[in-house]
Amino acid sequence: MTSSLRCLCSKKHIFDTLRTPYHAAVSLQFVRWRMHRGVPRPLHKLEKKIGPKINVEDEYEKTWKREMHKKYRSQMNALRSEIVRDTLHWLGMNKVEHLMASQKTQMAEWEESHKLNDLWNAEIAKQREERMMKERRKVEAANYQKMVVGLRKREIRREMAESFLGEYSSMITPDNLDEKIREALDAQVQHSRPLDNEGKPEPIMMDMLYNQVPEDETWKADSEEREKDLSEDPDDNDASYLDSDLGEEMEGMDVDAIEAEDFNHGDEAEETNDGQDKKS
Amino acid sequence: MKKEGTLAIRFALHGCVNRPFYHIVVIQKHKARNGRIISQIGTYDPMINQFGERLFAMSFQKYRKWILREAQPTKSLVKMLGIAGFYPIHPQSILHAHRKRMLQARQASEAKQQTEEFKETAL
Repeated sequence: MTSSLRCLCSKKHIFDTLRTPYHAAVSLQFVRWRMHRGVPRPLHKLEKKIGPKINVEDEYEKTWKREMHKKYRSQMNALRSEIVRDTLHWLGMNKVEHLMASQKTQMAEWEESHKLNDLWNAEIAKQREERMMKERRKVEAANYQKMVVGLRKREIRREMAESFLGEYSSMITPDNLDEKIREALDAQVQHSRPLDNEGKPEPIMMDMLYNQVPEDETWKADSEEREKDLSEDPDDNDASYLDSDLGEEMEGMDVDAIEAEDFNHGDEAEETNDGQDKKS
Repeated sequence: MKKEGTLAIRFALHGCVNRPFYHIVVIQKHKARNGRIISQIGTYDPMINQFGERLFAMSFQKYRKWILREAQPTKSLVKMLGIAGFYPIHPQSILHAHRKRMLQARQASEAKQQTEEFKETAL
């Protein structure tokens, strides 16, 4: 039996309490599952005999049972009404008056409770309105801030777009193609020009004249000096240098005829001396 | 208008394991045994004291007032009040006593019969 119990009762603490089939030393702890049919009954239930209920009715019961109950019922009804009458008499009023008084008190209590309820509702309504106003202000402030931030972002985007457009305003598109061609043809670009340390071309007179570059003061000083130099250029139509620099050999000679010969002779010499120049 | 519902006057079991103790309370009928009461009007101790008594205490003034407000007492309480003398004795208590008396008489007669048979066999 113990082996069958061990395999069936996997709960260890039940098996530990059962020592032999004759001594049902069952644990007194409450268990949540039903015992196996082989587990013996507890001691306090061994004497209890469960059997069918036997209704033993005597002649006395058969004759007097119904009448006793009828009598009892009538007595109890009478007693109940007597108790009500006595208590009303003891309270000093009739049943109707008692009912009306109770109704009056109940109505008064109801009205009082309603007034209290209305007061409480008014207080709570005030608190609710204050709370709602606060929340509305918060929401409005948040919306205003959002709007401001959005507008600021839009402005920044517009500025960035304009800056990009400014940089790319010189781009050639089908719309401004004709204009750009005209500009390119009309523009006079000087490629032989000095550069800064950064690699950008320095402005010169021609840029200033055609591209309207702002004039620096230093350049002004330089431009004035250059104007002076240009005015003193010996290549100008001023033949005074001839008189000063020429020697006695050129006295009495026709300078214009000599210059014309030199001019024409120079061209012929360049044409005929191609092979000799190369050899030298 | 205040609506209390159907009221009952009954026992509410308090105490601890192996020591019951009852409160006689006025309570709404649908509530649990130890639920929220309207008022307590008495007590009942079912354990026999040193004098062989089961003590029962109640305020009959309050009981009458609640009867006026249409509260219904339970059968066990009414039986106990019948035994106490406030109400007439309940038929079930009379029949219970009758059955117990008959059983005792039967057992006594059986025991007497067994002794007589034993005496006859011994002789």
